[in-house]
Amino acid sequence: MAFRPTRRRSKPGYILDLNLAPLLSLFVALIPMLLLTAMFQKTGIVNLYLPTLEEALLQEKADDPVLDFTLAVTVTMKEVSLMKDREVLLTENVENGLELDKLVEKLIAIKDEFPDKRDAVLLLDGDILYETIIDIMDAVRVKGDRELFPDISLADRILEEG
Amino acid sequence: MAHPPTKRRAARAKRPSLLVLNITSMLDMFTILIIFLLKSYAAQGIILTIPADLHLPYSTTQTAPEPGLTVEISESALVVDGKRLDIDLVALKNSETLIIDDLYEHLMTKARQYEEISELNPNARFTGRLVLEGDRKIPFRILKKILYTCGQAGFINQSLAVFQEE
Repeated sequence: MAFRPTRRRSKPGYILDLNLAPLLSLFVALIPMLLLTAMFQKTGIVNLYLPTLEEALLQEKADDPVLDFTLAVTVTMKEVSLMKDREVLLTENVENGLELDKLVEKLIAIKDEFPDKRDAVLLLDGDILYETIIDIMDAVRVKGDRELFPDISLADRILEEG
Repeated sequence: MAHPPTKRRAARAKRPSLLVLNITSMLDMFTILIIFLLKSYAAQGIILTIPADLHLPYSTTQTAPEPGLTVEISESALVVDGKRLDIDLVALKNSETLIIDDLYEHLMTKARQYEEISELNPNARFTGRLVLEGDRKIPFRILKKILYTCGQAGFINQSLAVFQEE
């Protein structure tokens, strides 16, 4: 005759039931509060640089002639070019989309040469869209963690030529 | 002899007296939600409120917004500090003059208010701080006129509002 199964096995096992109700109440209170303060789209700002009159006068009599040049990025619907004073350093065709890699490379080279230079000017056509301006400002401002030329002013290209 | 209990009563007797809801899976969900919400929690509060129809451009900037006078430029309207100005943006696009008279007058009123406040309270100094919330599709032609007008009205500390890229 086979053995009878032990009693221990047939006993109903203990079901450990955690009381999760207080935790649930806490979560129910926390979630609406966090939902109200959550920012799903973080906003930031890009500062514009406006040289004041005093600064402009100071710059004219700058002691450091090395930094006394204007770095300008000219943007039209067709091309983006980098200029140092009147000399064009680089021109890039942007009709098929904005490609700024070469511009950034050149900017890094200039930054290596003049580490104290901080300002740059964007000379823009009237039809350039705001998002393009921001994209180009980003390219001129920083590369990765490295700060390039963060003091950016905006100017009108037509006025510059006239 | 007593009647045997009905089937229904017998079934009721077998049922456990306490109905326990299984909320474990709901708690799992809540835990995930809480972690996600804590990640996007902003302790500093919301300084810029961007209207739903205004699409700011994306930027790599890490600079947090600072309070100041806000100027919203959407494709159809110009709003200064929550007040919509009656300015036709299409006409503005085609006009030759740099300064926008209505905007200039409104900004001058604001600047005077700020100056009056700073006279009474030296801590609230007028810094000429202005945050421009522009739609990503507005052309520079409009932008430059607005920036110029703001500059002329004394708001020289200008910054452009953007969405931060993740």
